[in-house]
Amino acid sequence: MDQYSDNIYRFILKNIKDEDKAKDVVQDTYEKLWVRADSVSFNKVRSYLFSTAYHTMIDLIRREKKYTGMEEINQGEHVYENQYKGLNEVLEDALKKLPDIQRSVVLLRDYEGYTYKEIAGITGLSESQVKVYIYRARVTLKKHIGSVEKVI
Amino acid sequence: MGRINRNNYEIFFLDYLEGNLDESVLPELKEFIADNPDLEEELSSLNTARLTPEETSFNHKDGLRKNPVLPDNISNFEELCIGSLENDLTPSQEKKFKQFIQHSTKHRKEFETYQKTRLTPEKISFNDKNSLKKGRIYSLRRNRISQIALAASVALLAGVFSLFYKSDMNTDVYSNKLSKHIKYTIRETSSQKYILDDSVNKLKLSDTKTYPIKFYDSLPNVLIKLKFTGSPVSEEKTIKKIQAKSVIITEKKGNENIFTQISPGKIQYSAFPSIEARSARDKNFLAEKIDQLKNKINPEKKSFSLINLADAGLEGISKITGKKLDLKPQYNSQGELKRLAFTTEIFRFSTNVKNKEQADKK
Repeated sequence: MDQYSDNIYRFILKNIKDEDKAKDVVQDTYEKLWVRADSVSFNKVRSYLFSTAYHTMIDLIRREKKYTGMEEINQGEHVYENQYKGLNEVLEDALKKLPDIQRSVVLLRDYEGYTYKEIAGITGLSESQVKVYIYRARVTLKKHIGSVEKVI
Repeated sequence: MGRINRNNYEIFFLDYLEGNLDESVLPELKEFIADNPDLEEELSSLNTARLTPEETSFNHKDGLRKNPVLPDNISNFEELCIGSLENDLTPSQEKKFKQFIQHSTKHRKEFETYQKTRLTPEKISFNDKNSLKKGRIYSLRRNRISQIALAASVALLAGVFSLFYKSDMNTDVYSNKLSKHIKYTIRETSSQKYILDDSVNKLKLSDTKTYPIKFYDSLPNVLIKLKFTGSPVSEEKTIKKIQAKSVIITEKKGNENIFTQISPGKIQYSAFPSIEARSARDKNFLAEKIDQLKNKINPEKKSFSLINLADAGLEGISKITGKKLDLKPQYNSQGELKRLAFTTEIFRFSTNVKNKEQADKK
């Protein structure tokens, strides 16, 4: 539980950038787990937790009307006013600019090492959709890094 | 299908146009068309209303292939970079791809940039792990349920409260009634011109027109300014803050314009109208209801109980919510309560009621 809660907290925090709300999502997620503890098999606890946390977060975002829409791609002109210290900072900045769904799938892929199929299970998307969103996220991240490298 | 007539000819026309018409019907159709020359034109126009497929080609067929092809024209290079990064390429594709980028510095650099898009996990910890334990979670849930119960209780109390205060009257009608009594007048001289400047509605009043009554339904505390323009100097004067449902009326009397603002200051537009607004029926609702119940129960006993009071309360809540809530008591020939049934749109339950004598006997 200790290990999963860290990962889930990190996943949510990276998405919504609000520590208190991220903590609430983690608590809600575990609350749902304990309610359904009998029907969740031990092997699937991790993906169950991620799936529940993901959907709880999406509900939260929708409630707060911050949800930008699944298909809305914010790939417009980026203005680089920050002084970057390293690649991680550049990536962090680029990550914030990704549409919610792309950010979620790429975090699940890179941070948690999930397969397309597992990400599809967690997010409720099809495997093809997951691939497309990861593809688009990579292209956006690459464009961002490329532009910053040129400036630097 | 029957004989062709003007009511069913469309079916025959369609079958004819699509080549589905039975040949045996064809003479009859021709005869019908001959008898109805106006429909002959319709048939020929239908014949020309067919859609012909356009020549459209999809130019990105490469992208539809199961596996990405290797770059013969580098159009799919991006796809290959990500495929390699995500381990989606077959070993032979991966090998060819690596060979390709080794011979092209530009493409190798681009692939290196793609490699940098892989995120490195940060170490972030959730510090309050104890709060996630099963017992603690349930305790949190109980607290939450208590809060919901408290909120529901407050809402219920507010609902019951509104039973005594909420009026069925139309508030607009009500405001018009009161507005007759509360008003004040501003006069202008003939050399001056008033402009009522409402920055929200862009409402402007000059001195020659008759103005309609303006209701401010959703503009509480709008600041109204009167601008005096013309000689000798222009000045601006704040007249009054008007509030929701205020009314401005102008009328012309000789050389003077009279601007009348009907002040809403004494009108209470809260959810619960003021005492003045309540009709006698509303004020006496509960008393009337209890009187009715008293008579229904037992005219000889002339008494009523808490059950009757509860019934009156439920009727009030039904009135507010529009949902049926019913408390049905059943009485014996002596007028004693025997059975009580509570009915809503969702569920119903009933229970026997023992009176004091029955209880003593047992």
